[in-house]
Amino acid sequence: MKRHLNFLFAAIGNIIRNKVRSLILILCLIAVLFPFISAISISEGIKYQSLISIEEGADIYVTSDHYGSNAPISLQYLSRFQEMDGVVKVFPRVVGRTYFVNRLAAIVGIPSGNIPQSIRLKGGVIFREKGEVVIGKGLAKEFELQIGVRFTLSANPSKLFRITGIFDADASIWSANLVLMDFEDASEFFRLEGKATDILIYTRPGYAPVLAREIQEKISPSNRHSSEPPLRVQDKSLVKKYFLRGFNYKAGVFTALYTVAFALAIPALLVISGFGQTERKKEIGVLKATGWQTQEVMEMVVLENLAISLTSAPLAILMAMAWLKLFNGAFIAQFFIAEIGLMAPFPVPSRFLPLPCLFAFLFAMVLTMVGSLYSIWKTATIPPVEAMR
Amino acid sequence: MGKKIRFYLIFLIVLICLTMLAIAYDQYSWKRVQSDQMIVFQRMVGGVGMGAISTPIWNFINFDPRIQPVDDSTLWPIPGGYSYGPDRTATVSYFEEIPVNQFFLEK
Repeated sequence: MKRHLNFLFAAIGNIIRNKVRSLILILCLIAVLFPFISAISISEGIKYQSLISIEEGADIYVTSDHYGSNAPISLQYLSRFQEMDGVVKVFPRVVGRTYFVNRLAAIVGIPSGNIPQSIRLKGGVIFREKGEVVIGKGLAKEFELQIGVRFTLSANPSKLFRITGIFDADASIWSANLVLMDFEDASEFFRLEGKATDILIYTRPGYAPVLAREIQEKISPSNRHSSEPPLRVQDKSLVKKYFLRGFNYKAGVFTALYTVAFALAIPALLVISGFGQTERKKEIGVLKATGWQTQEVMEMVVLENLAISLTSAPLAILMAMAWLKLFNGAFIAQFFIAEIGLMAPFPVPSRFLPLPCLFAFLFAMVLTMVGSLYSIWKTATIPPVEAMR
Repeated sequence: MGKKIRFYLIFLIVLICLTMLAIAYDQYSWKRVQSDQMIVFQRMVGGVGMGAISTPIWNFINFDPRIQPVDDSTLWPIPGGYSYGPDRTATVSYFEEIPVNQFFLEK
């Protein structure tokens, strides 16, 4: 044990002695790991928020199916769904999109009875009367919109809106560019009265799959005698399946591409630059001349790489954490979250899980090993006189 | 063991402990989110939003299945196999719609 500890001290001594080489290596590793950790933690943060949107959302979503795509559903279905056994709550929703100058914004219309008392706004109050809306902080900031401002949108210029409140930035990243209004107002705006984008059904625990099947088989006019278009029914588990699949693909593809790109780039750089190789060759020559065995030299280099990796990985994690939490991911968040600009108008969600952090350390370890082990072994196996020359 | 080596070792231990504490605190802060405005908001709107996006630009990697059933940019009749759909912001990978059987043989 003492022997291995001595190798560790010798390795750390090497790191301190070759300050410039070690510093450059640590900075390179931080530069490699920082975007990797940032990207994975932002992805995990958004994934967590998305899963909240599933858990807190409805148990069943029903839309009309026109030509295989979602289409507005008639409000006549509301009463039929309400009468079903196991249904707790049913409400219609309108989700659409519009442009504020060049900024794409989501319009969400929900019945005003569905708005909880506990909703917190950055300013103003929730809508109460016809034409009143609550807007996201992103839109308010970008277009300097304040409470009381009236506006129209080109999709239906006859519909006049008045801002009564601005969403709290903490609500969700999807609230930043949102215009929330009463369901009736949204239907009038899109000129689709008597219809909803989807009908949301909340059920008693365990009822959702059974009710989804029942709606599909009994209520949906997909039987051969009906002239109505069929319904599209999705339950919570199906939506969750899509979300997990999407996020796993996204994170997996990013990690794979990142690993390949940098695993190839770093050794290539090391080979091409040959930085510190002559000095290192002489050091090994001296060690061999003083009686060190090849395996002892290799052990010391492994420990040196371990110390370098243990320094760079935590530093990269702490820097990523500081950048994302304290500076809200300024400049870098836009690479991972579309449409937010240089400074995000909401707290950028980031979640630092132990596994990606461990993976970052292993990544650093592999990179330093790949870049050094073979060349060290080659140097250690030649006669010391030649190595010192 | 030299003074500098001892200092580096202490620095390394402090750094690792600090990182582990920071990760643990981050985990704890995400657990507290249960009573947060995020929950109230999603409960109010009935659940909306997916992907690394803050506006409803829908493509295969960002679309919300509750709003859009498929990435319909791939359905556009553009020859050549490659999708030139303006909604498509990524070309590296895709995932397909979960299939639901609509085919029945009549006897």
